[in-house]
Amino acid sequence: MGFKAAITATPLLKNAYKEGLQALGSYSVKVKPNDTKKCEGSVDIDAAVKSVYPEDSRWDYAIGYDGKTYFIEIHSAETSQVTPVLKKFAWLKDFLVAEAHELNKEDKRFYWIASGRNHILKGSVQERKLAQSGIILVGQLNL
Amino acid sequence: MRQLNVKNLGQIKSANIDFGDLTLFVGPQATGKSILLQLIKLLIDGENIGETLMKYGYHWGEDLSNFNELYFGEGMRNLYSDSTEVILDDEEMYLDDQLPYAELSKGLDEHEYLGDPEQIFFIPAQRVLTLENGWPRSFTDFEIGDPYVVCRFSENLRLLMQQGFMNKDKDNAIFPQAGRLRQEISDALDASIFHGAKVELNTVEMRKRIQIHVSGNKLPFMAWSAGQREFMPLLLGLYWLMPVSEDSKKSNISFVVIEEPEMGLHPRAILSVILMCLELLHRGYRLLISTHSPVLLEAVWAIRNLQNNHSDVKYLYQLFDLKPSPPITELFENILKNKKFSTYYFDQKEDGVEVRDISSLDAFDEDLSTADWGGLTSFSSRASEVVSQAIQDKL
Repeated sequence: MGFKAAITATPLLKNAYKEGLQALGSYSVKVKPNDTKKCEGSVDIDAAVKSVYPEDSRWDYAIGYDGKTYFIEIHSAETSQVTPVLKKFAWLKDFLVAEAHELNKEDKRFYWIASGRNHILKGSVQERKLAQSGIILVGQLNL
Repeated sequence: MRQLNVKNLGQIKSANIDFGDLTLFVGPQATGKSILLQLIKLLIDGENIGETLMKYGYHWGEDLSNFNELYFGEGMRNLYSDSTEVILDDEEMYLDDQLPYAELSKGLDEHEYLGDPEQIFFIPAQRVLTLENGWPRSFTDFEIGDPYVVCRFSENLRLLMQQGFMNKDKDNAIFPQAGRLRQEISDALDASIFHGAKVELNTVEMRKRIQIHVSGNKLPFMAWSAGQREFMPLLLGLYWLMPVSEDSKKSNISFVVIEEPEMGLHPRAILSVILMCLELLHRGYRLLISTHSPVLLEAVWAIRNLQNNHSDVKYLYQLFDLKPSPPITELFENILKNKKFSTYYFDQKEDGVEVRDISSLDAFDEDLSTADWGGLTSFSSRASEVVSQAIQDKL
């Protein structure tokens, strides 16, 4: 159905849709699209659902690009943050099933973008925990 | 051979192993990995080993300690004790009276074991010693204290070189060699280890020698890079297992033991060796491999996760950075659908080594030996923890 239509079909997110990467605010520098014409929009999930899920560990953003939906969490890449990010990821998967059926049908990718430097080594058990869960940790997301 | 249970063998206090199609042994130095692998060969190939030793003129009387020193190597006389227990596929093995060595050592005249084929092909860690000066040493060229598996491997290579290569009329190529390996695997080995150089069998001062032919120069074995020297006997061993004839495997060989296939190799080259191991699995061999390389564990971890996820072969192509082709797709499908991968950790405790099943390699496992792969990645994990902690303390 496409990113914009899927967001429009999601009551809790439809008013949060932004063109391009605007929903990311200053964090948009962390995402580098190869072709900006392929950007289908973005949404700040965290802010949009805060009033409905105030106590939950909410996931940050979703971006539509070239037919895929990229769910991104911008977070400090420390070993102690692996568990909190996995908790947010668990929340996101539940949210997609419960509140965002159309978005859940899209082709999805999940990225943790390090807000500062990345201190989680390749090959470490912490990195494998993310990989086993389906999350890729990057310094910036090149689309 | 499905299952092996061992108690009180050398430094090993207990080992309970369910063999996969590929079984990895990991653990610190001197925790008994090699001893257990040699024991497995002895249990399966006992008659063949006795016969081979007799053929080369060795004599050990009826003394099991003598035999242990002859087979396992110098200093191994007291490997077994009264409390040693070995159970293979639910059958207790009594090492001193079940094996035919005593009978064999009396002479070859009236025993019934002649012609028993070898079932386990053993590629030992000391393999570089077998190619001294670019030609495999003969069985009897080794010292009495050298392990049997080293002498036997060297002898196998010598026969391969004599029968497999020297009879060729024109072509003196050892690598690359037409029709021996799949093109994709040959290309991967060339790109990661030989970089366009040719390995040839040439006559030097009236003797056959393996040389590397690069940029017009022919380099003798001792002038090769350390990694190339380590890899050559491994490659020849794998050639032995991959006959050029229509048979895809040696019919009598069921298991292949490879000790530390990563020796001297860059991770990219290790990946090529792993591809060759998958080829062996595809041909119907079962593999037992000891390793200190995280790369092998990473490959097994990835394959197990892809299996659990019922993933498509395209992910294996991505993993090994190969272009799709029907033969490799068939190989990868066989690996993902049919092959079982197991990993055992030789855990050094105060009172001996406990061999434990860590096959899941699950990063979330509460047992740190499983999550950190028997300590192989614990330093990466600790380095991440330490740096993260230091950075956070400054925030």
